[in-house]
Amino acid sequence: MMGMKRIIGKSAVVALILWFALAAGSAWASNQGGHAAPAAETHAVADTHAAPADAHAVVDAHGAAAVDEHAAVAAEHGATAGEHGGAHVSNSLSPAKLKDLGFRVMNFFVLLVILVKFGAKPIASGLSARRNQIKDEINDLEAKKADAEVAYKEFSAKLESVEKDVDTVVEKAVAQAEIEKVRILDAAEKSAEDIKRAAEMAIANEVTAAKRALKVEVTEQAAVMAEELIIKNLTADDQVKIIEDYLDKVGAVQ
Amino acid sequence: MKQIILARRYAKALFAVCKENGNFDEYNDALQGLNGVFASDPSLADALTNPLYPMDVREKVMEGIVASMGVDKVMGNFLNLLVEKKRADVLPDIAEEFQIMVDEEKNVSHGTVVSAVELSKELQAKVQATLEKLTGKTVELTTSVDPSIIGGVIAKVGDLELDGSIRTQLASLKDSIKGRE
Repeated sequence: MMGMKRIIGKSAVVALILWFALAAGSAWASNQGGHAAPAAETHAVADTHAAPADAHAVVDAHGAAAVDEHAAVAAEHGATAGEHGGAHVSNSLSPAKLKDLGFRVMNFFVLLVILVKFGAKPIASGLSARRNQIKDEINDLEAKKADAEVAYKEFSAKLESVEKDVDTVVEKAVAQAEIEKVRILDAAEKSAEDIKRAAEMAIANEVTAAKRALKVEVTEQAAVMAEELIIKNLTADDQVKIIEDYLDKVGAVQ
Repeated sequence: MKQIILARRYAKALFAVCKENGNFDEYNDALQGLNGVFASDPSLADALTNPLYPMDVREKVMEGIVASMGVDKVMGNFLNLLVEKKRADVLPDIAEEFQIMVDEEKNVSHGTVVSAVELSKELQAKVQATLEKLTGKTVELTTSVDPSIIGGVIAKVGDLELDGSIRTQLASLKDSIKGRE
């Protein structure tokens, strides 16, 4: 707030000095025009050129430049008038002009006071609010920028970690797949061995059963053939001998 | 249906009386003869056991049998008691149990001999001697012929069984061949 007031004050002083210089220059030019009496009309024209120039000088620099140009033109006219008028002498700081100058100065100060009185605070507050707003926006943007940078770093780190994780997961999956492959192959080989063993056992059992059935069949046939042979060849004496042998064997056991 | 327990009880009572008198052969012959008549003439057993007949009629029938058999008073009373107690149907079992008791008393065993051919007297005597030697008792054999045993003999005395038949030996040989792996 204080800085704003200082700036406004400096601006007012600069404007005042500039106005005063222009006013002095204008007055001096008017004074030069008074020496050329026959060219009074031309002076009047120069004055009319200078008067608006004074007002323009207060407003902006462009006006000041225009005033300089007009002043130069007026001076040139004055010079021309001097050449035409010869030894004509005039008083440039006449009371009327000084009075006019005093009114103009007073008018300016009144305007300046009114401007400072009623416009300083709103302008200062507006500018201050705008500055604060801009400052806040800058701070917000800085904070957002910092957040964005942090987020960018985080996401970059995450992306790197995600890539690493993906690589790790892929490696683990590949390793797991290899283990699973080995396990499946082992299981398949084991199953194949079991199936082979079961088939061999089944074959062995079938062979054994076939052998047993064949043996039973052969035995049955042999028993039938033996019975037929015995019946065919057994005589009465053989019957007696068989009985006696059996009785002897039984008696011997006793 | 056999009534072994009941028959053994009656036989045991009668045998005790016989043992005192020493005439169990006579009683045994009477019982075995009556048992044979029962087996050969079912009408006689029916006349003694059928409840449709009055008790006095059945008693008179038994009295007539006793009179015809000419047994002594004890045996007559025993047979009449069976009719009176309605146990005449147990008479065959009583005869069987009494035979066993008499055999035990006389140290005699009854056996059977089955052969493929008819046995000669000498062979029967040899079989009997062998069985008596094995059992330690006097053996009375009953012989029969069964050609299916092919050869040899099958002798049974009580719980003892001697199987020397060719059929059994062939079966044993067959089983041993089958069982050998």
